Amino acid sequence: MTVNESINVSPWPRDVGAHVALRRVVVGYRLVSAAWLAFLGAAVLWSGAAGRRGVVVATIAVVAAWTAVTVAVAVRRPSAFSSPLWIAADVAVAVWTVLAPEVATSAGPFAGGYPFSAVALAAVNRGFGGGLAAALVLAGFATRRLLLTDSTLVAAINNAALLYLLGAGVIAWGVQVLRDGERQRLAVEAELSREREERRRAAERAETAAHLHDSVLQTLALLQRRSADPVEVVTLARRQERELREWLGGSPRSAGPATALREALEGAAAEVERDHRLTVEVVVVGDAPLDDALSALAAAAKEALVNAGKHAGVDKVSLYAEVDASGARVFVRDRGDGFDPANAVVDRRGLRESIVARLDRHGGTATIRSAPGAGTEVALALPLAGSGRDLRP
Amino acid sequence: MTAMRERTKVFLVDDHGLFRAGIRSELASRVAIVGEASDVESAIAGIRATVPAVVLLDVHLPGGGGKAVVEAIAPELPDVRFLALSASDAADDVIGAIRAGARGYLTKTVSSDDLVGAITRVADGDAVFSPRLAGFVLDAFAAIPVGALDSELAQLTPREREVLQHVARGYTYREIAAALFISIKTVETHVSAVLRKLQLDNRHQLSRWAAERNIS
Repeated sequence: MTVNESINVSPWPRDVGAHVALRRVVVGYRLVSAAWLAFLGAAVLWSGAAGRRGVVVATIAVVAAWTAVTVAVAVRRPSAFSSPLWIAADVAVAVWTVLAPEVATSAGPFAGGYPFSAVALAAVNRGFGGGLAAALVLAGFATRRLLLTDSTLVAAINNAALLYLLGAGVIAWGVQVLRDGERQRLAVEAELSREREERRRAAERAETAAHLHDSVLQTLALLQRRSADPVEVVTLARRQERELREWLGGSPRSAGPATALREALEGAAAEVERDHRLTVEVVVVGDAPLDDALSALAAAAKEALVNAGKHAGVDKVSLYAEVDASGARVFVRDRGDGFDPANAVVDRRGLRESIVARLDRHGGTATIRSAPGAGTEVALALPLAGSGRDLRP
Repeated sequence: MTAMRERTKVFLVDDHGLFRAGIRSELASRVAIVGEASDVESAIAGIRATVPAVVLLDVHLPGGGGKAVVEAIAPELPDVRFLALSASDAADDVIGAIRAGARGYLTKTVSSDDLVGAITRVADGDAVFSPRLAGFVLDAFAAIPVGALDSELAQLTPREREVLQHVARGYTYREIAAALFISIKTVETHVSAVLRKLQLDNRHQLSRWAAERNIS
């Protein structure tokens, strides 16, 4: 790759870990080399080897300031390091440290390792092209002095020029190797996590398929066999719907006994739906933890549902419950045959025994509104603890 | 409602072709189905082109949900009424659809007769409260403490609450009217007032209740 081409290469990947680490190392080297230059400059001043001391002091100040800028850029906007403008400015400061001893009429150079830090920075941030461009410029200015000064400096200057060129090459190559290695590792990791994700999805699919097979497909098979019985079909579909909803909702009803009124009523409704080929529309407003009194209320409500299922001659019953500070109320309503409550025959004794008496023990009331042909509504009311009655045993 | 009235123009919006076909075959003889769409964009275009009386709107819809359709159409065609339908029983969906401007909400398991009744009611400008919707609304307003600022506007009146409780208990408007010794028209007025409170109240606890359940 030639120097000219290097200006147009695609942006260096800056999100790669190894590259970030290398950049930190180079900025660290810049700090060390700036201190090194300051130390050498101070030695020159101390020994009185420089004719124009102000130039030496100015050079130290410029390098210190530019090093501070370098650190600031590294912290705030490291992407600026790869811009040609930055590299040009950075190399210009380095060139000045090479030329300064001459201007200051110093006996020897005092740039120390500073110029090389510009080569390293360019090589890390722009690869071969950037590194070689910086190295060539600095080597050019260094060897330029060959024509002007005595031969004792020739070896040192040659060494410096060689160091710039070789160093740029080695650093750029090292960056390349590290970057390639990191890319490969990232690719392997991405592949691994993709495979893991695929395995997880496959497992999920298998689990879903198994569930659908055990539930929905079985129900569909049953529906085909029972298609002559519309009530059975509705009951099966309704049960499957309820089950699928619970599964989709991710909160299947806990296996243990209900702990709150809403749960108890929904459980009772599901049971009655299953046993009595009935659709129960459950609406509950508010909720309360289940105690003895509320358990009795739920049991009474279930009894009312069973009664409707047995006697009303309908396929749909409404259950509405509300709980607030004053108490709990449950209404079970059907639009079925109805009956005359004053004339309840023996068969309807379930109402008296298990509904009215059950609630009475907990201070509640049951009201039955019905007339032949006008449907039935059982209204259950229970005052809650806190409204003057302690309902707990 | 006269026997001679024209059949109600209905537009179907649902992303399930099977469901649209089912509704179409159930309702074809009783209402005039003027068009159908399966996503928000085609629904908006179709409703603009056909201007139906009632849009049967699925709450879950690709391209922004049923809400997006209501919000696009309501300002330019205020006479088009929306009746939300959903397979979901979640409070968010129910209240969300109503707050967007739907005049009622039914689950997809509703019977054909009830659906036709609801379409007629919505076309007449009334609200359709299923027992479940009534329960959710009672729940929502119960979250507002009595004595809150502006409580007269934010709260249900005792009569409105009573009407909603009867809806939740499974009473039809006619049965509610008989039970409370009021006219059916009065029942409808109460229900519409509840709907308005639900849609207009953007302040106070109701909006907080909605926000907690991610309904806006």
